[in-house]
Amino acid sequence: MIDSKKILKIIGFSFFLLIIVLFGIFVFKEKKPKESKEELFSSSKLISPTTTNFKEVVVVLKKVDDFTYQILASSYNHDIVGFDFIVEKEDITNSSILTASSLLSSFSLYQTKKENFLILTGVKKLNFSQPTVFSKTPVIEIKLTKPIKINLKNSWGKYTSKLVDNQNNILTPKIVLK
Amino acid sequence: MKILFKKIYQTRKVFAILLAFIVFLIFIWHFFGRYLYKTKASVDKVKVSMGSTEISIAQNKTFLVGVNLATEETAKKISAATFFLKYDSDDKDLIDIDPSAQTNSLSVDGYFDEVLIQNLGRQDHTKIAQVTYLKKQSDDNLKNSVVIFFPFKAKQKQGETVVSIIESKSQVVGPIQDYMFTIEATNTLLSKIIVQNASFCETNSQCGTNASCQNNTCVCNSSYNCDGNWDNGCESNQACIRRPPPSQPPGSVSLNLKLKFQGVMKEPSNADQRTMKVRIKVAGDNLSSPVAVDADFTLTNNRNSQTDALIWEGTVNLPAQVTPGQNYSILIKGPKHIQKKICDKDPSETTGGSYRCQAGHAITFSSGQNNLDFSKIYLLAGDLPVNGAQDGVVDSLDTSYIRNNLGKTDPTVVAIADLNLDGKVDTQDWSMVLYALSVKTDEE
Repeated sequence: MIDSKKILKIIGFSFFLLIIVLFGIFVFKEKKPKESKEELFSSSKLISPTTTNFKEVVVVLKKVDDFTYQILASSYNHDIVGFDFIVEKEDITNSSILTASSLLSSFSLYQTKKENFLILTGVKKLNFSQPTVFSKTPVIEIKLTKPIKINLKNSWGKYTSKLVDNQNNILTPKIVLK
Repeated sequence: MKILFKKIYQTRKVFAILLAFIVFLIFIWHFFGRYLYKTKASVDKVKVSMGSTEISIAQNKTFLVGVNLATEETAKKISAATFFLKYDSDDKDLIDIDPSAQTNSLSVDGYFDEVLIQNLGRQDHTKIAQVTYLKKQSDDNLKNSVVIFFPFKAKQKQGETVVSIIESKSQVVGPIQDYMFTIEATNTLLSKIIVQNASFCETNSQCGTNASCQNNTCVCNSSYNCDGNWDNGCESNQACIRRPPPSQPPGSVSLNLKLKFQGVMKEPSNADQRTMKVRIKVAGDNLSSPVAVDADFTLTNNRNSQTDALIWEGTVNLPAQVTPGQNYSILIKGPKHIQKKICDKDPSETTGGSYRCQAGHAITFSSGQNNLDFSKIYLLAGDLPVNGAQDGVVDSLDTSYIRNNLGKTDPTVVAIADLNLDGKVDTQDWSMVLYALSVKTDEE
């Protein structure tokens, strides 16, 4: 009887010790806050959008076949409500016609042709309230009338490729050509 | 196992002491890391001083207000700073913060990689702006002494104003978390700004290669006429007194304009929204680049038909370079709108926003007042001043800003995204920005 009491005490004591150790681990492993300069910059979000180059925000131009390309996007947990992509037709003299269509029912796609560029603007429809987080998500399909090499550009003139989230943050993506 | 537990139990006092010691250590570690470190940082000072106590600048010119930052201890480095500025108190309207300034020109040697300039509007009859500087490169490249610049643009009006730093709100940051310096002003943190006439100068270099500075006025060298027309002689890069005297006195052409902005169907309840600042540019063969004038337009009760939008009226006095008898086109850009190029005296259209300036068309001004009725065409909304300035493009940032603020009546948001001036951001504004996506960009 006495032994079992002692054992109970030892178990209780061990449990207490375990809690303390866990607490210690928790304190040391506490997520390191971002550097203060980042914090200072993001404080302006209260007033207006920030432009941020999120390493994790990636846009991929993927060749499906000679006549079809797809744009895939990863938004790293950001809820995306709009995007702009600049597609460049490398050979200006080639008469191939580019047409883009949205692969997402929740987004409308607007396209403008300027010189050898196709400017695409995606706008999330008002009747879709569910968050839209891209994770290698095919968002746009581009069809060509003749095989031609196309590129995704970060910027051209006044235009920039970007994703915009539900907090008005401008996410400048890393562009990958596949 | 049982024996092991027994032995542990027997040495429980040692364990208790050890445990208390560990807990104490954890506490001390945490406390020092979180609080004492910060307290130490906060006693470090950064000396802040204005580069100039007085700056004279010509009308419509951009200028920089310099500020020196230097930490008291040279080992302490600066990685970021944010400054709140106030200027144009007592409802003066002489200068504006210039969000279009190049980032690398806003600190010596382009020290800061990213600069965010925000026009926060007017509070208590004074304009407020926030300028944030950020160095993103590695901490090895940080310095303890930096010179930064606040970019401004003088407006058309002449007069005096003051730019001052709101010390209590501004921050200078060290390289690590929570490392805020205490700002110590070595002189009064304000610069007096004097906006002079357009030909004002202090040095020859301000007048360009073809003019010189005489008694604070740019005067053209004898072989140049400085009339803005490069075809009949070289020009100065600054407005200057012409030699020989100008054939047309400055400001001899003025325009009485009637404009119609998309979506404004009834008078806004907010009186501030009945006046709109519009940028008018005039381009023509005799001008090397378009000349720009900002003018206030006032909402009237007039409209062309019951279903049409209300008409806005304003008067613009054009600079001396715009001369009667020459051919010009007019570029009009509203504060939330796409720029429209007009080259007909009485333009009209069948669909809203479909008017285009056709090749070979131009407007010829006569001396004095010119009445131009542009109220039969729509100026489309959509290029919102989301970051305090328009970017000349209707894109996902403009659409997203409206989408993210639907239903809001907050004055800051309304000032940016309420396109039909009904006091709230709603689906009508949303429809308007989507419509503008078809035009997409400023007409040039």
